[in-house]
Amino acid sequence: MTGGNSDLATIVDARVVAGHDGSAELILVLLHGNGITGAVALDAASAFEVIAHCNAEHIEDLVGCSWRSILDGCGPSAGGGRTTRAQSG
Amino acid sequence: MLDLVFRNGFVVDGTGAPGFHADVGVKDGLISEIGQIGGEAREVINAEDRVVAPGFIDPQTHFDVQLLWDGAARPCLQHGVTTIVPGNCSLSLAPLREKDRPAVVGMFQKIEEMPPEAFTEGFEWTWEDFAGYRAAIEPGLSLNVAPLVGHSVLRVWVMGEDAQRRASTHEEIGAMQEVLRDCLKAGAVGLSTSVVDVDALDQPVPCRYAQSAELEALAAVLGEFGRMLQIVPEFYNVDLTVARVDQLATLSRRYGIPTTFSPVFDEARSPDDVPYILERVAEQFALGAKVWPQMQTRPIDISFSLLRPSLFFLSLPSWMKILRRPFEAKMAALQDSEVVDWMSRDAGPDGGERVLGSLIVRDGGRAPASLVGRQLRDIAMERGQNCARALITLSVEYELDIAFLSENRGHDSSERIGTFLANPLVHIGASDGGAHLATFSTYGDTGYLFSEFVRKSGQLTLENAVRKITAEPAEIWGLRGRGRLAPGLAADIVMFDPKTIARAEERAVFDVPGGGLRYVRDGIGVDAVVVNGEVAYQGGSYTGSKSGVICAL
Repeated sequence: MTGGNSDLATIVDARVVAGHDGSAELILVLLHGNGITGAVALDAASAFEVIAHCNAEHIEDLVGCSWRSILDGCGPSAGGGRTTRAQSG
Repeated sequence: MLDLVFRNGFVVDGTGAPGFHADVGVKDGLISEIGQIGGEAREVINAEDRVVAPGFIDPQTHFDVQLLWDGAARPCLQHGVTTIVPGNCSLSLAPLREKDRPAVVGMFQKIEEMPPEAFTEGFEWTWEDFAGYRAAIEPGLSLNVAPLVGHSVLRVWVMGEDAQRRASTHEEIGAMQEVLRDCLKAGAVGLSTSVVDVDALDQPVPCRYAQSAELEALAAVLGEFGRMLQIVPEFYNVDLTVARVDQLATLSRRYGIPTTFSPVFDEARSPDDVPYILERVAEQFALGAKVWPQMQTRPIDISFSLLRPSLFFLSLPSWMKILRRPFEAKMAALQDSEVVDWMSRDAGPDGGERVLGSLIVRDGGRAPASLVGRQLRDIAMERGQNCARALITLSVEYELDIAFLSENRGHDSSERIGTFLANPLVHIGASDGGAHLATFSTYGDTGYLFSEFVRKSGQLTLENAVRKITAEPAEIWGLRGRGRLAPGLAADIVMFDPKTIARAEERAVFDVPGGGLRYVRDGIGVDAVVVNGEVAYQGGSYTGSKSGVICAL
């Protein structure tokens, strides 16, 4: 799963948290090919796109999915502004 | 003769020193003396059994628009706040050319959740440059304002539509420096920027297209004035946040400027994150940088209705399937007994008691007053339903326009938050006052500081809590002559009851021009607030005084 290819980022944890703007957000923890982990915060629209692309029934189903394949499947919006929080504070 | 005397108060002067019983005299907008004051005064306020402290300072707000029709930035004064910093997160209302207003208004609407009418009916656009904006708001101010210039609007001013397309040229950077210089001369307290915000179309705001050379050049101008750089970092990612700490520290040392980043949140599932950030902040302070992390006092709630699918229901797959349908299909499904049975089963063997029982019905939607503020489990019991069915039937009865609140879903461990707030390197702020109007209340963090962390947990002394929101922010932001009670300093004063000061329950009001909704919290236990020597709030009422100033100079 970790491999040596940085394209092989994989979701290792997924959880819903309270976003700064009062909405629920999805935090995905990614394990990159170089062994580094990092978090990505998704607003509802982006999260639903990711969930659909992964054919996930439960939030736990996201674990193990390839982040690269998600980006390729969801289009530019999943790799751009909407993968950050929706609003400021 | 003095203008005003607070008589027999418990003076907590903002320095953190132990409080003491004394009178506080005011003349010509300044504190004239502290001690036993004889003689007459035009106005005497009995401060017995009350704390007399410097006015509170809120360093992270978005009142830029509201100040144009409400110079008191209601309800700030009710919470003892006498100075606010708007213009955060890269967005200010100046400098802004007429042709660029629609784009920037869209960014503000995204953050502040104001109706379009707020920008057309609430005020008249009379300015383009920063001095013009200052002239538009200053005569009506009931509290002090230390405004930031937004990096995004600065970019739009120089680059037009290209501000949201590309990096700047050398010449454009030079032009931005000149404009920033003009803004700082006109009273701006610093520059705000962001690496995460998006506009109304979910596109990165203009400042996110800036390369490091641009930020360096702007920091150099801030260095000429010793002014603040505020940034919104990738706060959901601890490693990126720490990288931003390092970046800010470099700018701080190189140009001799204070910097601050907000927000910093604590999350139970990643308890090492905030300590990791604070450790790096401490290292950078030790190396001579000023990098102030801002942390809010209040916990974070999640609010939603069934009108739009919320990730709150992600743990309930059957609910998600229904709630993502279009309105008509969703309403039909929620009235289908088989579907409701299925959703009820999916909510758990307890009928959703654990997941949904503590939800609170909010006002602001179509919920009647008899339901507002009540927990779903109580309503369900009254109706003879389980929690899942109660949520569904209530929503259907009000055509889904009934909002629910799940309280304390993040940043909610008082034990941990209190420890962080007491840390000398943590700057209490990040309130977001004036933003997210239609989602939750961003007011009352000062009262919550005292009720939760002074009275309840005791993690901060009264004197330290006052210092953290008065003298400390005044020093961090360079607000000279404010933040302490001492002769010769500005008479920004709050008198409050230390036994009761708190924030009230959230409530919906429709006082935004255009009838826009916002959620507010009233203050509790704040008796009187003085701004530059004039009583601005007393006995639960705003006096209408206009003694506020732009106080960054």
